Amino acid sequence: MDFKQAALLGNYLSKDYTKDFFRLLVNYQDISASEAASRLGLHIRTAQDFLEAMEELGVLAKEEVYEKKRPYFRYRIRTKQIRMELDLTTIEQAQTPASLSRQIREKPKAKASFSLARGGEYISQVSLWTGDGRDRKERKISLTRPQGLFLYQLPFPNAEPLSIVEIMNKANIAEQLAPEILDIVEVLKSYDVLELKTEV
Amino acid sequence: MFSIHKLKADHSIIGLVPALVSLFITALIGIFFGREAAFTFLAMVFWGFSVYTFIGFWRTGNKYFIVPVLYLFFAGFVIYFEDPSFRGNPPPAIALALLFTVVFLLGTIYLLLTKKVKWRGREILEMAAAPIEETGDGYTNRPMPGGKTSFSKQQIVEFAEFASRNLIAIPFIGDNKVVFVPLMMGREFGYILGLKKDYMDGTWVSFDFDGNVSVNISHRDYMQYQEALSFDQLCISMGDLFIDFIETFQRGDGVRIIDRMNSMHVGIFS
Repeated sequence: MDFKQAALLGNYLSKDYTKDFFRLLVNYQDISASEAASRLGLHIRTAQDFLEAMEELGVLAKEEVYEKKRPYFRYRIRTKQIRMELDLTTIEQAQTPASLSRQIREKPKAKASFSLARGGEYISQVSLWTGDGRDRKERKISLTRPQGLFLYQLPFPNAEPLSIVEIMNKANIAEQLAPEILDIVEVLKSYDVLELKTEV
Repeated sequence: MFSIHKLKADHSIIGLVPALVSLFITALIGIFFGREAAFTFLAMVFWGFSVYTFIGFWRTGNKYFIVPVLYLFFAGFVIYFEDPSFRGNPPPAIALALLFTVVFLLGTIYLLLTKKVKWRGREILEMAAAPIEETGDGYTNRPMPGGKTSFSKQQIVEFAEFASRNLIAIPFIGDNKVVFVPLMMGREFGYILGLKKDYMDGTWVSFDFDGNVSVNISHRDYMQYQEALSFDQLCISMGDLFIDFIETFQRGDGVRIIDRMNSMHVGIFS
């Protein structure tokens, strides 16, 4: 199941009527949208949307029928077990030797402001700006401690760039924390706060 | 010795604002409430500045502050008991207070001219910039890690007391580090009165007790330079300057630090 399907399923599972709807579906051989709506006291459009969504997720099967009137769909349950399984490894930050050996430094005149933690040993928050004048928007990102330590050691705009792994070593950050470091690097790069060696 | 200044000329009158405002208010009181009320207010102002200067002495340990404290106190005394009928024949107490006022005023002028009661932030910024030739801006509001030293906690704290006494910087002594905040003249009010306890947005050099040095130069101070000096080199130079200060102080040559600052030929009010 991908995130889009999980979101759709989660959305319908959170509705008040879902349990009663499934009770109908597991106890009836098949049911139409109008029959379910009248039985549960729902608007037919609500029942129709629920059934279509479950059919799209593979929980229900639908069949078009003709009973001396215009065709309509009847729905029956396909499975009495619904499993929601998400594979988070598909969105895990890629951590290759090449990604860690990229050389970076802060970009001159970057539209960013860094706030120090109370003790002053690391950066606790970075504010990023986009746009100018009235269109200027600010986004504040609170940093984890490893990210804050990393940004504390980030080379200045006109200093020699360092590789990500070198900065991590200077900041005493364990290598298994690389994914969260790479994440903030990508965010800052997308806001034009960092420059990579190829651009330097 | 001739020295090339890298900071812009200081035309700020912020240090004179309290005195000018006090005089203006005194004039208004004189106009609306009469001469006696004006002199009473002016005496209060002098005593207020005397108390403020005493707090400066108490916070920094700079013993020279006692002279302006006494000048302001006796001047306030003379003003408070000022009466035209005393002219030519003042009572002995007033005459003595007047004598003390003149003596301590001369002492205060001497201390100003010899920079014994001058905050040295401007000298620090000049000295940090002196070896920097490269320009290129590169300002960021992040502090720069300035390497490691092997100073002990005691050495750092001893220098902090020296720096405070000689108005080189306001030291913030924490559990695991000492932060030195150099102040230019006119920017000390908040720190002296205890209103400003956060140094984060200023210029500072931090020495933690594990030997790590960090340097932060505020945007306001960086803009004081005539040219956009290479920012990372400026931070490194600032850190090196304070490391050199501590080494010099540890050798027992603290007076050389003062001599070096005096040789920068910075104005007495800047």
